[in-house]
Amino acid sequence: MKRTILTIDDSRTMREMLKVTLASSGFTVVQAEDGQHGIEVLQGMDIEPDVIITDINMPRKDGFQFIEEVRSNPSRRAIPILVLTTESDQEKKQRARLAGATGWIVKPFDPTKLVDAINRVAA
Amino acid sequence: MDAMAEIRQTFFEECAEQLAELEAGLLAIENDEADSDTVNAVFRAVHSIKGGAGAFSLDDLVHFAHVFETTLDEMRSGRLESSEKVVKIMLRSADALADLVTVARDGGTADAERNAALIDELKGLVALAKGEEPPAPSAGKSAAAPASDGPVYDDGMGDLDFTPVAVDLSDLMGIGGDNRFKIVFKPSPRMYAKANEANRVLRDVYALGEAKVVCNTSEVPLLTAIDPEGAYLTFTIELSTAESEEKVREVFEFVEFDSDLSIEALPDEDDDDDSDDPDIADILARIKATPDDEGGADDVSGKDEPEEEPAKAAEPAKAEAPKPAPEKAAAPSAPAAAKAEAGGDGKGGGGGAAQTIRVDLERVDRLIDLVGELVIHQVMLSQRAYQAGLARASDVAVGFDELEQLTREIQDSVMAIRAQPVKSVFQRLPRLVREVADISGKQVRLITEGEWTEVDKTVIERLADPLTHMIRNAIDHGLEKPEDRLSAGKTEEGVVRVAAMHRSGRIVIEISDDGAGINRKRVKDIAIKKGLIPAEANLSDEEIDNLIFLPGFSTAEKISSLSGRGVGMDVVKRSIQALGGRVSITSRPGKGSTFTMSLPLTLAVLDGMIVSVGDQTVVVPLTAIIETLQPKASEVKSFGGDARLVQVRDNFLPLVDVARELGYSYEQASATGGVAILVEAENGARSALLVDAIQGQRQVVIKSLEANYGRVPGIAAATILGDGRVALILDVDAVVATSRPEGNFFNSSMQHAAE
Repeated sequence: MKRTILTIDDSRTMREMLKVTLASSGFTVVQAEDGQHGIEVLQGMDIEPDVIITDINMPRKDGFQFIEEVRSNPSRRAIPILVLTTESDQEKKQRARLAGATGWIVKPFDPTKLVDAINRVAA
Repeated sequence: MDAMAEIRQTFFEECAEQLAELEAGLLAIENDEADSDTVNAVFRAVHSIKGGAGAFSLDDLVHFAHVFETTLDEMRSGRLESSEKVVKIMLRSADALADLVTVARDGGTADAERNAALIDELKGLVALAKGEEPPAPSAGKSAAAPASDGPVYDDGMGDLDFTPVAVDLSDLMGIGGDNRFKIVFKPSPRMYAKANEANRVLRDVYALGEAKVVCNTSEVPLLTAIDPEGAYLTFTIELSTAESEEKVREVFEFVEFDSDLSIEALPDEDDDDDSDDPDIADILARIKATPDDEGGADDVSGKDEPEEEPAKAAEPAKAEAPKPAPEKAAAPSAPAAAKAEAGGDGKGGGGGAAQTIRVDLERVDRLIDLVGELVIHQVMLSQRAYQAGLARASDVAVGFDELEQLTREIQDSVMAIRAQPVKSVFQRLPRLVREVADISGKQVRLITEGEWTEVDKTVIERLADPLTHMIRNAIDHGLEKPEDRLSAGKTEEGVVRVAAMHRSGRIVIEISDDGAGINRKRVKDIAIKKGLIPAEANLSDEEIDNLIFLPGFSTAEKISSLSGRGVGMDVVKRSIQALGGRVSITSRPGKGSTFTMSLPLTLAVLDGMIVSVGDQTVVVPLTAIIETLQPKASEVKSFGGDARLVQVRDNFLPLVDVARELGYSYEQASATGGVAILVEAENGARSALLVDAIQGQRQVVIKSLEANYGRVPGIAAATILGDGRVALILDVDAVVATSRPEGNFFNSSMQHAAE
């Protein structure tokens, strides 16, 4: 079965980039435009995504708040969440980790590395 | 790759939106109307541009955006005060960023010197915020010559942490070199709570080379005491691999802080190979803290799933927790949504999740076409029903009325799809005003009003140029220099106000300044000197003001770099007329001038006068018509051959026989038997069109003749009338031009009757 990835990014460019990369690697992609929208999309999904990829800096609800909210539901602790971050931003990685992120993807991402990261966390 | 080209386009579209957001935000900060959301939005805008630019390896853009972003981050965190000076630098940086985006999209070169200077200024602000000495300006070479000097990441850019391409160091380690590691890995419950799994980590370890994994299960309690979300296993891994320690560490990078982890290089030949690694002390400390793993170990080397048990044990817990989250998630979402809406009312748009869809313009136009047909058929149908004797009071007639109402509403709604707020044009104005003010040495405040006024997309696109020119003109010619303003008892800062509004089915845009107003005496002198008007012409104030729209008129004594550029107000007037619009000026000496332009809301329909020509029906665009009159025999003069002139007050205008012009008739129509319609072409030339009768005035849907048939001289387009007949829409410009080979407005049309 095709695995489903929920991507959350307020940048249309990033969303499309993720979509093209992931779709060409055989994933089904569901998109959201910010953390709040991500929560809403997640609530509306029949089957929970196999992996969530989220940006950090977003309007309304940022990536940290989004992850905390997802993790506050015990049934959603098993969904791997990867954050999009820049290479050396240790502070963001750290905060994302504390919020409950499973791992991170360094921007700008290399398509193979992106898929690698997903395979590392997806069941 | 097609998809990439598309994403690239998306990126530049998004850049335009982000740049607008950035500028709007900075202006709000400048005017003290900002809150923390504004600062965040500004930061995000630059951040997004940087992110996308990185993906496309647009190094110059990434570099500049990065420095800008760093400075904005200082402002966001409150360390950098948003003083007037700071905001000014940021506004200029926003302009530079916009230029870099343009260069990235269209090619060309950016002003490297200015950008380098701005980078220095931005860095200076960061240093200021951090309480450091501002760095010495990097002399010339900094970012000024990035293209020739390889990557831009050198040269004092140590703080730039953005690496577009990951470097694989594995080649450096020597292939086949047998590295051996002892890894002790004890996941904590936290690790599982973040959806990381020990078995996946181990799987990745296996992928690195040959691994022998020993799982210590001694800590697993009795079933009754087991915490389903606990973690009780410790894995000891002996790995021999060709990969570096760095690579091995990478496998654990997501879990290292949620587990006890030690990675130790085992002696191969050299013992203290990596003892200089700063992390080693840390790791050693952790090894000590890690429980001893020797006793009671089961050998689980291979692909068993060692932590399967606790994971399975966690299942019931999942099932038992029904779904508390939905309510919890819903609660904060409501205020957030409300806030987004409030933002939409105030500043509009705002929220990233605005309810919009993107539709190909062609589909919309097709829909508009079809609705146009629908309207025509609806009118036709009811006309025929009445002709066939349908009683006005019958139920069917009532149904027709309702149908008519509905189709009109559908037409309006469909037209509204193409409508966009003029904001997209207005938001380019602040930058324009800043630039013009800088060059002309004037102080200008721009006030925009009605930026949410909507108008057809095509109109918006073609509005930008004339608007730009009129604003340049208002600042360059309208406003006085600061010292002159002071001596005239005004504030140093001049005001340019741009307001858009809907008025009787058209959009009206006013550009007003509080400058000196038009110097009528000078305007009139120039017009006389250039032979545009006769020296003895007696013109009203309004007529004098509107002389500036005449071709060849320019009040600037020397060509200014601003308003110059080879175009005058006549070009502005022509481009507005080409859109079916009109422009005029009113001026009060010492108080300022106001340009008013009015445009149709759409180019898909046209207000037309329906006239009879021979046995045909023709539509004359209403915007071209000045007046209509019935010529008297005494007012019509023959003039060499077939040409006739008609006297309108003091002027003689060529009388164009439309029936002959269009080939409907070979006979010359009698001038006194018809109606003369005075029209003005885009270039200002006037003629009188002779038609048989006026049927009425109505809005018609424009159908392209070229697309459906072919180009016909003298005809602009066609339309379908209510009774189903096709009517041609007259190309006033072409018809006027054939009647006036010279075409110059003042050479002929202002000729006095006396001549």
